Amino acid sequence: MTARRILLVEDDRFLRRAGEISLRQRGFVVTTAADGEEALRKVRAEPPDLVLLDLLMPKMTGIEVLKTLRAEEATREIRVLILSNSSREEDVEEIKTLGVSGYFVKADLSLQALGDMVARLLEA
Amino acid sequence: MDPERILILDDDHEVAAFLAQFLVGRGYQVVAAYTGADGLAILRDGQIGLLLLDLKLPDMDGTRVMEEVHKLASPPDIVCVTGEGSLDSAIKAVEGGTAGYILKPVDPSRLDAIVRRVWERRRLLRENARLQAEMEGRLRETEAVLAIAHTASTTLDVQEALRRICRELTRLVGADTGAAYLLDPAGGRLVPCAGYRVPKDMLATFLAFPLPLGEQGFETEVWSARRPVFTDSVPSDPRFSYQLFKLFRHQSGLVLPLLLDEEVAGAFYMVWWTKRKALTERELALVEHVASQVTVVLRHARLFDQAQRERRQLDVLYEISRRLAAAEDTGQVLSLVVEEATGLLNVEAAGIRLREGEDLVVGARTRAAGRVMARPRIRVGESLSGEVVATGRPVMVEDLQKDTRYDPAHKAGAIEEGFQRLLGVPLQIGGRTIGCLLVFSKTRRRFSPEDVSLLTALGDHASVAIHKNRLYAESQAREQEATKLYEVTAHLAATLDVDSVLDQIVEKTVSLLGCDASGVYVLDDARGGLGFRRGLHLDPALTRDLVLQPGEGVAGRAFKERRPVSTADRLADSSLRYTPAAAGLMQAAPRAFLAVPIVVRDDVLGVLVAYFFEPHEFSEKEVQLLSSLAAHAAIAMDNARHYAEVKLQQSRLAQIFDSTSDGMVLVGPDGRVETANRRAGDMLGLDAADLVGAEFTELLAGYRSEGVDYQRMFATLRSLVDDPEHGGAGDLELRALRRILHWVSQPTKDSAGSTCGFTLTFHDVTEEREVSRMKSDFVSFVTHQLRTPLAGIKWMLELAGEDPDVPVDAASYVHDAQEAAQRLIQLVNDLLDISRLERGKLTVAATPTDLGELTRDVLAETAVLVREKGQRVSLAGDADAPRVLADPQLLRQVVVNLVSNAIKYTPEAGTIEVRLEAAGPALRWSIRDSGIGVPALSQPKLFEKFYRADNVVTLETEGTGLGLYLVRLIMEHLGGRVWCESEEGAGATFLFTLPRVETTG
Repeated sequence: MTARRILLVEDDRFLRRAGEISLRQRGFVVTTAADGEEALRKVRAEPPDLVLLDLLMPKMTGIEVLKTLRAEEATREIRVLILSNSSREEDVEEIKTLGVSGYFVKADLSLQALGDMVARLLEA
Repeated sequence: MDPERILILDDDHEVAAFLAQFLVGRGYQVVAAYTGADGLAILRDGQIGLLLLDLKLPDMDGTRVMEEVHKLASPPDIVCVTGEGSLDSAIKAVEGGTAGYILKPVDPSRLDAIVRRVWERRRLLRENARLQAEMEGRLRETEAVLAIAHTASTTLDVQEALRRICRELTRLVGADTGAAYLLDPAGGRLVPCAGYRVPKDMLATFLAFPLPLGEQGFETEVWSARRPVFTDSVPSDPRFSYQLFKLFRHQSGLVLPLLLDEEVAGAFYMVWWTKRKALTERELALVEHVASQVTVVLRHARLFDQAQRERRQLDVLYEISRRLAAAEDTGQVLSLVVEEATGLLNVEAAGIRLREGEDLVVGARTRAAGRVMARPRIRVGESLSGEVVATGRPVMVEDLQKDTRYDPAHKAGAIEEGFQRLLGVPLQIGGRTIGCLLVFSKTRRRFSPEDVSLLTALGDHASVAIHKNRLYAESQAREQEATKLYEVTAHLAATLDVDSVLDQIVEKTVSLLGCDASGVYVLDDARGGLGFRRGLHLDPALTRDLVLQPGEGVAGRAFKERRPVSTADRLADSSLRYTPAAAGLMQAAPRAFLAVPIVVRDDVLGVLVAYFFEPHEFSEKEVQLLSSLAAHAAIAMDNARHYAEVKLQQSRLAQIFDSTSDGMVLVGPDGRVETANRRAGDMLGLDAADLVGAEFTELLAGYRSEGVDYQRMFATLRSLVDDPEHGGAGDLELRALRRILHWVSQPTKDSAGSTCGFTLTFHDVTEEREVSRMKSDFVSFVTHQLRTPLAGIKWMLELAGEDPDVPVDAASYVHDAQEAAQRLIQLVNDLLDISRLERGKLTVAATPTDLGELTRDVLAETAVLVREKGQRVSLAGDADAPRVLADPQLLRQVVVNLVSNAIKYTPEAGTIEVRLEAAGPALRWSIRDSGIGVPALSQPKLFEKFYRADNVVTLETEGTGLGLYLVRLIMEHLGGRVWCESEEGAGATFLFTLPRVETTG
């Protein structure tokens, strides 16, 4: 079985590091990006199986990244999981229309739970 | 006795005697003659009915006698008695027309027979002739009577009738001459009017002599008996001693009076110049019959005359009334009436007096009446005129000189002028006597009842005409007054400038009252009294600073006493008081003053005064007029006052309206903006002037460029036009203007309480909303900022905890750190939820939720903790609990919170019971613990922010104090209720209810 490729898009370095380590421990191939531009570059370079996407980032917001991904033929079908710390309804609504596999608040999520969810998604 | 005799003519005396004796024995009257000459002489004498003739006579032949006899007018019959009988003589006798032929010696019986026969025959003839004459007489009578009747019925000309009848009558009675007389009412005599066969030489005299009625020269019997009087010997009849009868000597006379209504109206006089007429009963009756026929004629004639007269009078009256109707003023009417009166009644003078109060003044009189009605003014009751007016009935004076009723002084003029009779009738209108109409006559003719009614009729026409003209004059005057007053009213309505209205009023005062000047004084506290305000024809030097005190002068008194006050002549009026300041007024021109107060409701605002420069008595009418004008002045001044007040109010209101900090727009029931203040204009980015009058919906349409939200934002506003009662509030975000306006709408009510549109109040909430948004953004921002490092801490700790190389102690430190971090994260989450719930920013997605399942999940999650604490948890009613309408996430939070609390506050080995059960239309969820319970005082405050029950302080429990508050907020949002039931020391039960969702439908 090919190891699943995950792109973790997160501007906070602590969260990025913890997330990367935890997911690697679970056996995933993890790439990271610290902002939206970098994320798009890496997605186009090597499309992952799953993108874990933060919303509030400098330079380009998560929503903009998502919109761009969904707009391009090559990246339209890539699965995206939103990991945010904001729970503004306006954002949630907008995101749902763009099509994501889930929306979670990081502070409420344990690494364990995160890993389980990712594994479930990628098995399907 | 038989008038006829028998004549025996025989020369034989013996024979004659024998025959005579025999005939006398038979009853005849006989006479004898012996010669022809004697016999003829006797025969010519007449009255011989039968002649016994001897043919042989000494002096002549009997035939000669027979011839002579035949020449007589009424010849006797002849019987020949002869001694010689010869055929010759017999033939002669027969040819001579004898009635018989006897031979001597005479056979007496034969003679008797012949004589009898002859006598009989003669008698029959005489009888016949008599009858004939009688019949002819009757026939003539009848014809005459018929002729008279015919005349009577076909002619109304009395003279003509009398002439014809006179003729018939004369013939009827067989008179020689006849004359007819008619009554001359003026002279009281019968004047000749017709004659028949009056001898020419007597004609002149005849015509000159009337028959007196005054019994002069006539015996009483003639006229008083009213019967025909006849005499056959006029010269010696004492009854006929009148001159006329003496002048014309006649033998027989018949006076036939003609009566009409018991009075002598005429007479016929029949004359027999020489004959001694014997008037038979029959003739008398006939004559009286004729007289009655004539009466008929006279009556008809009189009636006809009367009718004619009346008809003429009516025509004249009609003509008069037409002219009266056309007369233009009373003077004309009166002149016309007196002129017509003289003509109608055939008098020489006439006059009218009209009533003025208690006096009678001359209204009009003909020239001839100048001296008769000399005094221009007399009292009612005085003299004839006065009596007519006082009694209201006609008065007549038959003979001025003989009259004793009236003052001779008054009559002197009339008598001197030759007037003898007076007639006066009242002039009446509506039962009131307004004057009298008089006529004066110089003749002795009496005023008949007809004259009185005629004059009364004329008087009635005159009264009507006078009255009509007076009314007309009055109405003209009124109309003029009304027009003038109307002009003042019109001016009043056209201007609020008090001074200009007062100027009009003083002008109209002068014109309507005909006074010399007028002025208005107005109460002015600043000037200390009644200050002169406006006037006309008053000396300005005098009036400029004039101020009157209440009670001072006429004006001051009118003001003080609140009623019209006048003086006819100030120089003569000692009751007027003036202060020294107004002394100037005393020297001024006005002499007569009339002042009327100008009153508005209870206040006297001033005084209106009319001045005359000559002494003048003010009439009731003038006071009324001036009062009317003062009323107008009052209205003008009142109006001006009100207007000033209103203007002041209006300007104040306008100031307030424009100085509020909120914008206000009033939209009328027609959907147009009635008014808007300046702030509204500023807020909406429009000119306030453009706002007013604009259609509201069009106005709103102007903001369409605000984008997609326009419909939502403006929908409610638009609907207000159709339903102003609805009211409402909302926000208007005007991006182009960079502002947010909060609007509130209320229906606008008029004074009657009915809705007439709506009022919008705009408040600029741009900053508020901005702050609010910033707050919300802030909260989100802060939440995010807090959560990120917290999540970082949590994950790092998790990693560290999973590292197998970590020593046990360090692992437990990590574990505690994780718990602390978790608590912090929970706090942040709670704060965020609370913040959003408080601001109403959390949208609730209510779906049918299985509360039983949710509870099971939560309990499963907390099972570990429960086990650690050794608590026993039971759940009941979860299996078949009905669904509730709720947001599952929020509901989960509630359940988690309550369960956590229960676990926290229940000691080790305690029990926790969770129960779900139906409660009416709701589902009730309850959790009971065996913990410390909640004191009664604390129970209400449990669900408040940051509250932890007092007794909790003593124990070590971690709690933010927010949990229950959040539970409460959420329950409120879900439309449910949460509460606590507890006794201190005996555990606590927390309950909430939510409406059930019906499974069907």
